[in-house]
Amino acid sequence: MEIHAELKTLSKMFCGCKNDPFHAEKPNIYTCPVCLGLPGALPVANKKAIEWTVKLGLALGCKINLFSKFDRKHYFYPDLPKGYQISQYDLPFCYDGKVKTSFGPVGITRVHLEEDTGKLIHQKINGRDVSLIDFNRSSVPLVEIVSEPEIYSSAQAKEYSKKLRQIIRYLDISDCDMEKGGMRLEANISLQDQRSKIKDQKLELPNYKVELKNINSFRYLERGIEYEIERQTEILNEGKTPVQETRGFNAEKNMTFTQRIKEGAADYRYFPDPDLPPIRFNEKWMGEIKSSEPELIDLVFTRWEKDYKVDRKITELLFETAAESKKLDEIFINLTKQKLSVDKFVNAVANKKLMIDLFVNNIEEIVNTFKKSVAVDEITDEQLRVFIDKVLLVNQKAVADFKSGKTNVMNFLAGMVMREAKKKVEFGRLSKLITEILKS
Amino acid sequence: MKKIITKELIDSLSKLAKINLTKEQEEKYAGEFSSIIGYMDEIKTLDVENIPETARVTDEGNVLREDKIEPSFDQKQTLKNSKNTHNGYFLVPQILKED
Ligand SMILES: [Zn+2]
Repeated sequence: MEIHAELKTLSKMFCGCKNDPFHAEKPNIYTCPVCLGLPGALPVANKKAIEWTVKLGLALGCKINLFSKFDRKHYFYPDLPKGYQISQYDLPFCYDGKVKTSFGPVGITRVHLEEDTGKLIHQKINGRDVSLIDFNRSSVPLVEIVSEPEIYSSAQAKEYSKKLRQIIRYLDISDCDMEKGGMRLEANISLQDQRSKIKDQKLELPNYKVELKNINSFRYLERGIEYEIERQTEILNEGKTPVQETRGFNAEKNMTFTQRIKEGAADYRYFPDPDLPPIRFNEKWMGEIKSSEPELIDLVFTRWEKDYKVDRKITELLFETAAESKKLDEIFINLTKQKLSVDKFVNAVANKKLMIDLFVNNIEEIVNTFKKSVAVDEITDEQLRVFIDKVLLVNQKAVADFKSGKTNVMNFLAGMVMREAKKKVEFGRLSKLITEILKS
Repeated sequence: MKKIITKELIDSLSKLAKINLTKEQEEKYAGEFSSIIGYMDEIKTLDVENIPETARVTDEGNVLREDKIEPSFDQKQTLKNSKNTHNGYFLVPQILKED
């Protein structure tokens, strides 16, 4: 997988233009000689974008190149006015990391920093096929995360990509807006007969690969890979080799299609960008970056599972950023102090049963709202049975429904009993009592 | 001097650079490039055993900027030198990406 994400720094990667391509009122308003690629313009790298890239690398367990640089990658296309993209070639900021998935670990080959290109809109104007160019996005900082070829299914590819988005959002360095192109997924797919695997020997990669590009949703990624597996299997079973090419995904037809055939390896003629002096991380600077690194998101979930017996699948729904997870931590501590169940709380929030906003309301309001929602009044079983008898007597139809198997009328009956008693009672306790009476 | 730059290489370089060359120019440049590259062979004879590899002439490093927004061009300024524009966009003929 190759995943790109636009960093949400205030300014662009190599100039001071505003980095806000999705909210710009007009095209070509956040532009200057640097991001328009005018001759003689001098790019200067954005320190924060570099620090964020290292932060991401650290969160992915990467090693950091203490000496790094930017290189020019040459190709011609109208969205790239300089004729080259500033990227990183042999010394990316981060390399050799790992991401855990439920199918097994996936190695991270590298994380590097580059600049995004302008945006092209293809149109027909006066009968001519033309492209319109907007450079508001040109030179927006873009991180690229490249994985090892260690992903073995569409489901794993999807889980890996979602996990990366979760980690990036947690670090609060990118919005990862897939629809707008703030995060872009690319899968390189090739198949191999597992029978050719020799015991204890690493498989050599197949002699072809198909690039699935411009995917803007996890679901399409999964479906596109599924389609490719089927398509390539068919070709391979005929004894042929799939063509090395770039394909796109058509969601309506649920199939992939040829975008362009690759003849030979691309020749980008990389070389170190002479405009940009290299970057050296000294201990002090690295220390500053490391100290700004939040607790790893995986560790947060494991800690919560251990301390509060809450399911990761639920807590995952509640927050995105590290700052938000810190607030949840405070809420959990507060709940525990008041002997309230954190597990019940997270479920109530996830099921939208509390009229609160976790990251707007203050902790006291949040805890009190939850407290009220679970508060029960004191009443004995004996007293309750009196009210139950009364409710059952006047709701014969509901009783008949229940006896015929429509168990969901229990909600109704329990509600009626509480109204009759003018008391709030725990539903489990009440339904148990009602069932006992109905069955006696 | 031996010809190290072939016509094929000139052909592929001109394609990468998007410069169309005539047959005569290809011949001519193959020769000229060969003599330029050939000169590198002479440099290769120098003893650089104890000189570290470098891609730069200065020891400069960490020339960075803080993440601060500076004024940009406005749209009019941006498009000023372009002959073909449309509703605030640069307009170019449609090109299929070769990559
Ligand atoms: Zn700019």
